Amino acid sequence: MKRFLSLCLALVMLLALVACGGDKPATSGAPSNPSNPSSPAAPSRTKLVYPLTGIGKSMDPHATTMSVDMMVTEQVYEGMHHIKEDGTLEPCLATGYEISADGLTYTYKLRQGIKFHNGDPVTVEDVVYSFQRCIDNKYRGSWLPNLTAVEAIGTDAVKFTLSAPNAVFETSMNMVPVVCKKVVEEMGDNFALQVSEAGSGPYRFVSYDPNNKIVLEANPDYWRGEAAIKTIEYVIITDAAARLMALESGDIDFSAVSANDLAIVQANKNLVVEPVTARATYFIALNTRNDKSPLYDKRVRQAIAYCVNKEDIIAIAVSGQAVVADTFVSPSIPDAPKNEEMPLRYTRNIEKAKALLKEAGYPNGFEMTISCGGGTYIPISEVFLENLAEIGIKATIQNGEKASLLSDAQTNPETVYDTFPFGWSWGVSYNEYAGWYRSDAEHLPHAYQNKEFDQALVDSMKVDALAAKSLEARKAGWAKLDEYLTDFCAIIPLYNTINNQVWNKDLNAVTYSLRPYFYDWSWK
Amino acid sequence: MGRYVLKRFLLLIPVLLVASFMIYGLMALAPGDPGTAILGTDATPEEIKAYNHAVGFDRPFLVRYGNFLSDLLRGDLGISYRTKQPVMNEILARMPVTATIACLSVLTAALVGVPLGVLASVKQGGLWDTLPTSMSMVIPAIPGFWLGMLLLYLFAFKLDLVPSFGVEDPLGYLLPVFANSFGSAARLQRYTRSSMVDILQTDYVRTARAKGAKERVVIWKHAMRNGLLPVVTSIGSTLGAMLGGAIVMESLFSLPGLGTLTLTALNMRDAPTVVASALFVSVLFNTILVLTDLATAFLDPRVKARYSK
Repeated sequence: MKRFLSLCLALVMLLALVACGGDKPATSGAPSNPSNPSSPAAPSRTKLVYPLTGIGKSMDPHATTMSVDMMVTEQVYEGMHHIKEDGTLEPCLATGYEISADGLTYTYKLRQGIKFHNGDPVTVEDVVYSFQRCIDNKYRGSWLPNLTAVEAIGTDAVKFTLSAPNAVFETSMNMVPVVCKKVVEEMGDNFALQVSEAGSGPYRFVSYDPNNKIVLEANPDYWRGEAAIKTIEYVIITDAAARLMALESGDIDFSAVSANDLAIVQANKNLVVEPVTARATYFIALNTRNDKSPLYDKRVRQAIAYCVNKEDIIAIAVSGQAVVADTFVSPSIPDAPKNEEMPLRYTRNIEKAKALLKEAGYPNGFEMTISCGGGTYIPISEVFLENLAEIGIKATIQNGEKASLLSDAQTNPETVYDTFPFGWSWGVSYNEYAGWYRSDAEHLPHAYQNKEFDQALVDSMKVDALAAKSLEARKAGWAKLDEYLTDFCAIIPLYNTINNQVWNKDLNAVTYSLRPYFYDWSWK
Repeated sequence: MGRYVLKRFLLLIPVLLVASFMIYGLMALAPGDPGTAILGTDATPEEIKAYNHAVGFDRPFLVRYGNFLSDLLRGDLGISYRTKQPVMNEILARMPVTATIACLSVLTAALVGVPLGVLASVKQGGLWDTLPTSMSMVIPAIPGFWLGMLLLYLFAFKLDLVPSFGVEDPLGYLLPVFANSFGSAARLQRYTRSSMVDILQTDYVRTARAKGAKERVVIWKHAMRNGLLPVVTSIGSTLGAMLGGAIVMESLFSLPGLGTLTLTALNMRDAPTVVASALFVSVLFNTILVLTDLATAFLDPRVKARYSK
């Protein structure tokens, strides 16, 4: 018995020693306990610890569109211009460009003296190689609308040839980063999964473990000067509560928090909170392709649009942390029409909804399904179901997994589903949404053509918008197209999410609506 | 005895065959296909069909299962749809973290649960019995995720004693090990107490006491040898289960283990990784069960004698 008690006591003492002894490993130099103001001040900070919410797929910047991958690759690789948060272009690998009078040729002047991380100079051959790689990869190719050829002109210029004028090209082509041809060809398939020196950006790879941590260091030879933050550590923290805990304890320096946790971080004096409208829209998609369904009739779809209570959905699904969306593309996209600029908006009107249903021949409503992919879509579906009941439509919610619902919709869109709530993130232009309504997109679950849809008219409006000479003219062109699409009503926009971005008060962070650019960040 | 060992291992084969069939079959029943998963919704139906044909997805189920088995026998667990890398490499990269946590958790649970169980059996009816036994009934009811959150809040945030995520710092193992071992320690305490109470009432223990043996010798030398046999079995199955990776714990503590690999693969519809992970865990679990049986046979002379004839 005595021996047992001695053993227990020894164990307790050992635990106490472990708990009290040893320093917490240095993170970015943040105070060891943010709630204790008397902690010694941290030394000058050079490291940023940034959480990724999931495990990525690839470090090949031409092969992935996953946000968690691009958050890393956009620090390591760069394009001809850097797209700033407000949509303006800042010269990067290119010093400037010229557009031919017919809008079919773009000639970019390459900046001289820039080197890749392996020390090789950035040449026109690398630029041509990078763009050709994306043309050959149709998924990134969607960012190069109408591009048919790219060729080197001498040693300092690259010519891009389009099949039709496209005003969006000068923006979206900058989403294609330039990589070192020699390194990529040498590495082959390993390029996607190993540290490489194929970039020319402000940061270069130190280590890459997609399951655990990715480390970048500032490129000392970066042509604009070395970044203020010398090391970036991306850590994988998938659980939102764990991320919040890590942020509050100073183990990470930045995070987005949900509406439910907003009050907690606002009460923490060591954190700065700023809400940012994200480039994401949540919506309800309506199946317009089933000619036996009431939804085939535009009046029925419009009736549904008039019955949706977007404010309630925002209050319940995201605790109020969103703004109502009357137009599908996020207003933070520079050339997208804004809510207040839209002549047609489906402001909730139950009487009008009922009148439209009656006109369409459904005075007593009908039955339909809501295919719900879980997560945020559950409260959206539940509110939507209640709204539909107000106009006599009896809906049932079919729960499923998001990816399989999309897959089923793609396989048999005519009959598989009636409606489903979904979310989408945008890049740089309204043209990405316009691309959903193209004549070869019938297989897409969100491209809803039917007999009432005038593809020729939509195509001509797209061409006009893309041929516009100025941003304002392009916006007007998209607004005209958006009015038609809103009237067609295949999609009911619900809201644009507000991203509550939170960071250590000693960090000079720059908020972002899509992805961060750490070159602009620094520590105080 | 050698025949018993051989027989136990040979019996693994049909068990694992059935397990592999069920795992592969369940994954085949799940909606979706590799073409859609890899190429995405922008791909045309023709492109998806071509991809599925290239990877053999359009072949009959039994043909696919047969190919899967023949690859398995060559140690090929397939290629991840997500990373295009051999799944075996990914599993082996993740195993050290899961194995470390599993082994430490079982060790902690045994070091805490077994002595408390022995003590409770010796001090039946007293405080040393009532208290741990009552706790051991309540503790398994505590959700592991909730406990983990509480530990994170207390030790990582409030007291700032351990890191809140990852295992780069060895201290990062403390909280997940503690959270994992909590319930297991309680169960082991109950099993040990129950087994020891039965043993302490047997004739040979009574005889040992009657012959004047010290109580310490009666407990440690005579009673525990038999009393801990069921506990060995329980420890073995607990270890096997933990080696499967606690998905919830690994997500909460951001541990790069087998659980998060499986969860990511499920979310990304990376079927080869899901199947391989499940099968790997199944092999590990069954192997540990066999080893546990063999250990029991080794420790229990009655079993050893039966199979040594």
